[in-house]
Amino acid sequence: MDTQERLKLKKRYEVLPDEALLEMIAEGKDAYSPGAFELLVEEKEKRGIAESHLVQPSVTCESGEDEVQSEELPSEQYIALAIIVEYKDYEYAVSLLKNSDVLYSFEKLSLKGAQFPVSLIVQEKAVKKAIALLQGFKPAGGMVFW
Amino acid sequence: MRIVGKVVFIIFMVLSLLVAASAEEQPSPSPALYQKGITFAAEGKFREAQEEFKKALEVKKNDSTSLSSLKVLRDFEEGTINKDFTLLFFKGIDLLVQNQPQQAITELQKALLIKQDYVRIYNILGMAYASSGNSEQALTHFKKALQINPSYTDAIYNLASYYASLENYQQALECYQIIIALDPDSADAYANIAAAYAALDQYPQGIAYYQKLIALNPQNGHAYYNLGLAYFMTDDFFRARESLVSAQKIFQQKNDQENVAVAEAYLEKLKQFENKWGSPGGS
Repeated sequence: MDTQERLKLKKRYEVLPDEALLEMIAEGKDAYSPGAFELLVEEKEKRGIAESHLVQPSVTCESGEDEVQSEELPSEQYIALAIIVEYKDYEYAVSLLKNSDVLYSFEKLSLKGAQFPVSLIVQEKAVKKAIALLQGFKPAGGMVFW
Repeated sequence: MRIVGKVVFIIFMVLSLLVAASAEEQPSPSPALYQKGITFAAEGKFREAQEEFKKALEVKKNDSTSLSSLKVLRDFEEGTINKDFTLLFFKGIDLLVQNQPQQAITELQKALLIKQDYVRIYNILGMAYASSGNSEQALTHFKKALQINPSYTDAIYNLASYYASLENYQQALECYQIIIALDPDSADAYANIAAAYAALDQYPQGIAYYQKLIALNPQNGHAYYNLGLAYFMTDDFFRARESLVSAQKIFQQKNDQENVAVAEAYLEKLKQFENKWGSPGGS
């Protein structure tokens, strides 16, 4: 992993909610390209969070080829579709998208460093598909942008 | 007197470009100050425009119009946007401030042909469409701004204000709640939530938010005043009086004679009301 990739990943991991970070770590080192798993652990240690908070599978982009592809995509190609303020809605959004080929992720938005709200971001070219999958999704206290 | 309702929301939205009801206690800058800045910027006199916006900020340090305009000019200096885009952007704002939303939309759409990913233009376009009465396009553009930057609170404020102007207070409340989730110290959001609850006749909820607002700034006379009115609406005359007296004292300390008179007038009405009907609430 070169420095640029490392920085990109580091930045990305910094904005993940605690739960998402722990879920990714739970997938194990073999699930990641060399160096990526160590960055996850480093971020976890920096936050001082315990793995007992683990609850759900990964909420970042789908694994395998797509994940590599998403890392290489510039941020301009992603747009936000929703603001989510509760964990249950975040879980629900994951459940709607995780089995699709839509690349998605979550970004922390709180100015005070809180875990929520987060924005759900999807690859711009997959917006229509994502919206179709998310039809009826109405995050409590949050907002959708379509 | 602080007025709650659609008139305040829509006028504020058009004139100040950014936030709805402000929780600030500072005086508003003369519109002529930032208007001059906008006119200079629309003519391409960016240095002069910067000076005018800075002058406006000397009157009110967080005047949203001036702050936002300076950010746009900084984006131009940094090369994020080019001169043609910047000119069209400010021409659009200039026309919008002059209450010519259709012409503003034309200029802003021209700018959009130059650059499509500049978040602020969608916010301004949302306002222009709102002013022109095109509700669908207004909402589309505010949401487009949030698609680009979901933490762009200016767009969330304007979206909330627009919902409120349509008397859709429930949606407005949801937007303001998001702002608080983003920034729990956002006094403006607390003020607007309280106002929206009051508009929905849900005074107990409104009272809770006025109290939060006061906790953030115990010297906010307007918050005490509005809290007093909300207590009055719940027939809690004792607390209404208490809050109005606090508001009156704060206004006196700040030598704000106009609002002292407003608070005194309401206290007098409250006294008459109590004399006539007694004091059913409070202790």
